Amino acid sequence: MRVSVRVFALLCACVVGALVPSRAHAQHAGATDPVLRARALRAGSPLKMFIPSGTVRIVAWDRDSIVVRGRVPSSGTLMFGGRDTSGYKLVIEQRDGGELPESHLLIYVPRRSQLSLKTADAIVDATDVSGWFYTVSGRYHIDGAASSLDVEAMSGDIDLEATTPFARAKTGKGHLVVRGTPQDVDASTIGGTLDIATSSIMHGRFTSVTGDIHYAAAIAPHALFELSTHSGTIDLLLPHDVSARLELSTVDGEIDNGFASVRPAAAGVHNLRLSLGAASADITVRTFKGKVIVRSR
Amino acid sequence: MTQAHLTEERLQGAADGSLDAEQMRAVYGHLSECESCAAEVARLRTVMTRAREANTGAPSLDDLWPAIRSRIEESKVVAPKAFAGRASGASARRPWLAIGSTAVAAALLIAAFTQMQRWTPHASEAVSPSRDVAFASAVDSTRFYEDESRRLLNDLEMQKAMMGPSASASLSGDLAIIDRSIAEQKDALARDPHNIALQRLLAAAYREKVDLLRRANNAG
Repeated sequence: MRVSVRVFALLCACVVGALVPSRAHAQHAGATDPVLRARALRAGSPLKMFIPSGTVRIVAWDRDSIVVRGRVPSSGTLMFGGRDTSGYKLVIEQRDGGELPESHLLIYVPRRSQLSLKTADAIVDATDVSGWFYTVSGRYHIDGAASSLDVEAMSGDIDLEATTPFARAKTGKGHLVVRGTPQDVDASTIGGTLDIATSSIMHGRFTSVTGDIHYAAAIAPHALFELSTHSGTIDLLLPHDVSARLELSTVDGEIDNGFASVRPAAAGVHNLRLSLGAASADITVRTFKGKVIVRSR
Repeated sequence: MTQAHLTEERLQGAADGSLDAEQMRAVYGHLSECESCAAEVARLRTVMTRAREANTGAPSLDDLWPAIRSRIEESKVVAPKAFAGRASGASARRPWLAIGSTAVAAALLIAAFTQMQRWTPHASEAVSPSRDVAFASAVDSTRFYEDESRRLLNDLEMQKAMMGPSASASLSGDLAIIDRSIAEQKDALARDPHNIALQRLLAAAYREKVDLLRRANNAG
């Protein structure tokens, strides 16, 4: 009897576990949801959107139209502005005195559209789109190809997984992840952790005030990196055969050098200069009191 | 800090004996345990000895100077003596010109001396002009971002009324973090005013503040 109770409890746990993700998944709008708006739109046109809350999935396609599918609750109204095919404005407006409308939208836009999307706490997943993306405390995941990305959050999380020549991402205490294949990256947090896991960056500036910065990837030849924190740890996990010149300095922190077998070009209590391999890339690391760790894989 | 080998600086110092007694003790302690560094010091000493030997056979610059000087004098189109003679002749013909030019020269000398009294270069500036330029650029950046953050803070007062409570709380928390870091860095700079790394960190902190305030302006 005791065993059967245990088995039942286990089964219940499994059922609940299986339901939670499916419920979460059901929140997202899908291709079977009703079409809310559909208009002709020229490729490369600007699109301005304000979707305060809920979930948003944006996909670029090879058609000259915009299609909005999904659900908008009764506490909100979908406003769609613009008279010709050269640009639109899409706003989910809050009805008087109501709560933030949690809409669930799937939006198809022409490839190369220039988006300007602002949210309060929405979860956004976008593919093959470019432009400016802003949130207060929401979440962004952007992948695919983009001409440029500028993503800002007051305290939300940002996950950049796109191929782009230029990416700029800033958040306060959110978690910021840079992956994909960007070339020129300017990424910063105030208290949030900044993770970089891509070897495509040619020019990178990574800063944080109290958050930690982790870099775990190869370094592109002739890349130029600058990493700095006030009190956050900077942890560089590099391949053992990396070709880079490292200049590490800290005012009041400590430096942990994992390349101890390499003779430093200069070393003091709070600074270290290392030439690794052919030293083709340049990496400058500065902290005020954060620890600097350089490790080899 | 983990440091397996001596730096180039220490190796050079050990080879030419320019380290002080305490450094020398530490370096020799390391050399007795590290074959690689000991071999490097031995190699450097051999190079230095060879360089000294190569120099011993050559005449010194003092020995060569009289011959060089005479060749320079011979190649001059106008001999200094002749030029001096003509100049004194001109002065004799126009005494007011000599007095005037002497007065101008004296004034220039006094002005130059006054400027030198005012300008007291720091050791680091005198050693490296490029470092000086980099430091000045870091100071300029700091000033620019500081002014910009002040301006944005003024603008923010109006924006705050339209800001949601979560955005407002997030902004206040983040501003407090940045201001604390700026205060710590300014304290450190007051103790070490020519630390370029510190100056750059301060510029970065102000830049972060400017970015935050610009983001906050969009939150309304």
